[in-house]
Amino acid sequence: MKRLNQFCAVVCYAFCVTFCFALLPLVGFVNGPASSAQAEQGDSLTAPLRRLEQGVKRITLSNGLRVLLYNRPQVPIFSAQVWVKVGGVDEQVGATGISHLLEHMAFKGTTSIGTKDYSREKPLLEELEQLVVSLKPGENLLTHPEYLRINTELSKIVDDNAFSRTYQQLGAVGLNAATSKDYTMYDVSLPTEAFPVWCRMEGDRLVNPVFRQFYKEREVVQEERRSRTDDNPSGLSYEALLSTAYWVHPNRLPVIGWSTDLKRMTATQVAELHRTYYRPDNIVVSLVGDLEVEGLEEKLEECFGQLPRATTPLPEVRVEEPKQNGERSVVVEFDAEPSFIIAYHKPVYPDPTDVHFSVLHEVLGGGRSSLFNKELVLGKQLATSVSSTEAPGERFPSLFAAVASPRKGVSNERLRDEVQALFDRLKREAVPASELVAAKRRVQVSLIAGLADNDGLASMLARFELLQGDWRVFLRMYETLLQTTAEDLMQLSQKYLTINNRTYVRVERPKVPQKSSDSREGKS
Amino acid sequence: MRIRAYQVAITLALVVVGCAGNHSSSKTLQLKTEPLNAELAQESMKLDVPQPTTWELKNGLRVIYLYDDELPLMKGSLNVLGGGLFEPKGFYGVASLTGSQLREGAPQGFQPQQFDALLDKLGAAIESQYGEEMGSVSFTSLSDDFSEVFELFAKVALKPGFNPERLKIAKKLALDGILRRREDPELIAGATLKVALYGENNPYSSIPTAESIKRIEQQQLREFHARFMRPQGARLALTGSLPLAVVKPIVERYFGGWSAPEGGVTIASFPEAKEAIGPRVYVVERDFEQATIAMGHFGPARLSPDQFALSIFNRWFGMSGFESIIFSEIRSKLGLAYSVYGGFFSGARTGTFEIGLGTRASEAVNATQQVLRLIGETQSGAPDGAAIRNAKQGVNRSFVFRFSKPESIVQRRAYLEMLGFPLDFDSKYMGNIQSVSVEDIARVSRERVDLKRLKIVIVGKISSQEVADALQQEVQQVKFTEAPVFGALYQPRPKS
Repeated sequence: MKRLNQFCAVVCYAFCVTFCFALLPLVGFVNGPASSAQAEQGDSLTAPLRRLEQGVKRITLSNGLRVLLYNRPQVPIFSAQVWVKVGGVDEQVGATGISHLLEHMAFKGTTSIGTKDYSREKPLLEELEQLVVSLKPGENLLTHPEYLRINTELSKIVDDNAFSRTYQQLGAVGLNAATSKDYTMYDVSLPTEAFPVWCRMEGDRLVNPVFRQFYKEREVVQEERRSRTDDNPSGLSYEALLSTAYWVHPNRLPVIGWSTDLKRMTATQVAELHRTYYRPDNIVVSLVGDLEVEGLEEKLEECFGQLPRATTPLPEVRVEEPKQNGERSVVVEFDAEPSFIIAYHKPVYPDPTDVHFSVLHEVLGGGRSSLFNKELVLGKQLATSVSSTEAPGERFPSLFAAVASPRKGVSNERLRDEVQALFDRLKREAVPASELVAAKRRVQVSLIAGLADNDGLASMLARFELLQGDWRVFLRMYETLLQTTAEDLMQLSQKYLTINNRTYVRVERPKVPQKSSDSREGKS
Repeated sequence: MRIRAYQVAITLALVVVGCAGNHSSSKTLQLKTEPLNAELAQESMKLDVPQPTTWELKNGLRVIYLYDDELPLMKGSLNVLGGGLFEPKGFYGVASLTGSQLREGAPQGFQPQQFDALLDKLGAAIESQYGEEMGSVSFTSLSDDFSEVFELFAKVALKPGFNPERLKIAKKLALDGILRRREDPELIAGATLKVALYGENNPYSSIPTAESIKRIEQQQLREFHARFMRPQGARLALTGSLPLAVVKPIVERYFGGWSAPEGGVTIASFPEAKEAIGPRVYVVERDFEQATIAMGHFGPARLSPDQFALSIFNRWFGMSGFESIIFSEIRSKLGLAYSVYGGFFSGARTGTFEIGLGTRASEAVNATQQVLRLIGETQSGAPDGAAIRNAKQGVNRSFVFRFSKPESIVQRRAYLEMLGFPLDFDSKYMGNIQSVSVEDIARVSRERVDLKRLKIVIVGKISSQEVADALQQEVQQVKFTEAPVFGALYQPRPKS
């Protein structure tokens, strides 16, 4: 339940600032009335959750699309999110990165927003697709005379960024979107008076999207890939982790896509993906804030109810990752200071172990007195940073990972063995009761604090509703967390934090001697 | 459930002129959204947000409190003027170390480990930092533990222990961090641009080096902190679920006896800066496939008479993502960048106009030229009236988000007061924005942006000579290990 932002677990439309937001409420949720003093505390702390449970309203539209509402009228603003269950796990080699590219295209407008005349634009877009499939190998689309001609025609009709511009004119804040292994989400906050326009725009982009300017956007995504992954040691090592820890399951593929796949992707493919997954039974909308709007439910029906019901079953991911037998390791050569990840396969909800891992994160790295900081940063002074995280997703069995940078003069191996030794200690010794209680209390406070934010709460609601089928799974997991014991932590350490189940990815400088300190000779 | 006594709503009625008709561009857009939008615009614009209570202690400390009982929490921060801009020469890094060690080094009378465990057990957090212009100590606690946590918070701010062992570790971590700088192209580009703009050994451009970090000891931290941590001019901003009657005596108990000599830092004592003279183009040759480009020159300070026009310029030109012309041109139309922005950044005494983008190394020169062309066009043509009107609407309608949470309301009040903004700044804000004209934007584009003065930094897989030839400009080659070091000058070869 805890993901760190140094991992490119999610890729975003604008700047990846929202995605830690989206995950914020999940970083913690443990309660701990394990002693009588805590039980008293428990009451004032569980009250906000009870209020939440009573306050959240679920509406199911005529087409089956679910909307979650939480009214918080103090300031006349609201946060709105649209979540779709499609992401990296739904992709195949050859078309990796397509969900994320579709996410970018969702900002290009609709049949009525972003165009001066759709009836003239449509045939040109079709002509462009024909040109793309007729290209011979090695021919560059963007310099092709036909492309240039069509594009010149189109540029007279297209109204650049009209969709986003309309939002910003309405006073939008935090307009963004993100794609992960498991989902694609669209995010915006607006003054409440803009609710009717929000409703029409979001409905319109679900029902009548137009994937214009696709081949320029494809270039933009390749720019994004270069800066986030290719030139970034932590991006590269995360990609290497997934392709090493997973052999079969699509969790092994990068959400941003392989470069060669991106280069060959077409607008037609993206439109197909949209038809397949953007359907009412695969979408959840959440609204949090001042929702005192007249006829709100009728408006929601009017805007989102028009998305046609799907008649075919949703494609399913049937692949299962075989059990890992023995450690896997991989080196990423990069002209950077050493760092590494060690990761272990772990189950996801509804397996209760998933919840126990949340407590483990807090015990290991949650506060300044937690194990990683106390033992490895301040105590033995072997690390500049150590943290634990989970990636890549939650729809399918995932990974528990420790990410660390050794201090100058300390090798990756040395620090890796020290981290493993801490895990091994957890297998033998129970976490002291006082530490467990403190860890639970900390997570509880951070959870409660996370509810204050409209955007964070909207994320939590939509995420659980979409991925777990009911947002109240959040509350159920919370109940499980209350009961997590030192014994649970010991058992999960014994079962999962083993060398056999481990993948080790390290960043090292290239072995070849450097010509100068300023150049990099190679990378994986 | 909320007690309204502490929430005096301010209502601002603003007549928005000239929004209903005359939408020149984007005709089809009107069909779907413009009528709704126009309806919105005709309504009076209201700013209806909770107002905090303020009072002043005898020692001059101003307290700002907003009651909010949605969650059983208390949050707050003590804010002071002062920070990195005041670092003594040769001791660069003392601001960030003082900031981190206030909390990390525990208050007097505590061992750091004991202090960490105490807060962790309470589920409370206390953090501290010094930025360039301001420093703060902040806390979050359960309301039930407020008195206990607040006492610790006051000790962190007023009676720091600056534990020498923790300082030693922090210095080593800072040295390791300096080694990792060369992996970060954005940091390299930003640091190089600063030296190009302000010159070397200047508080506005200097970053910590291994040498300066090694020189810093507990004594420097004590002196640095004592210079700024004074009740006069400081602001204590608090919010949470306890009634004012409970909070007030607790504040008095822990801060009432705080005394310090007069004569702390004021806005007037912030250092001035002069734009450095030097080459226009700087290249850091590194094997990054993605080139990082930063451009800039000096701009006005925060309270400039043009501040509202500059806000609209920023939104229109390059600081609002999708809506801005630089994003539309460089990203959407040309597909040259994922991230691109540009606009004015202002400080207490000076500011900058800056542009930043990333593009593949082979397109670095082209992207640079495209940006320069775009600025040139911006200056020669008249801004599109509809775009400026949209920018103004966007700024005014999103203004309410500055007050979206109780802590942002009290924190904003603290900043405005400390940075010398007029008391009626917020109540006049939307009117001031509304008065910005298309002519104002044309004027600031012409007068405040200067293509000839713009300094350009390129970091990536590209040669200095190549850039000199392509741009027909002298190029200053820069080596970067822990900080920018200027190397050879490359002259452009005549175009063949």
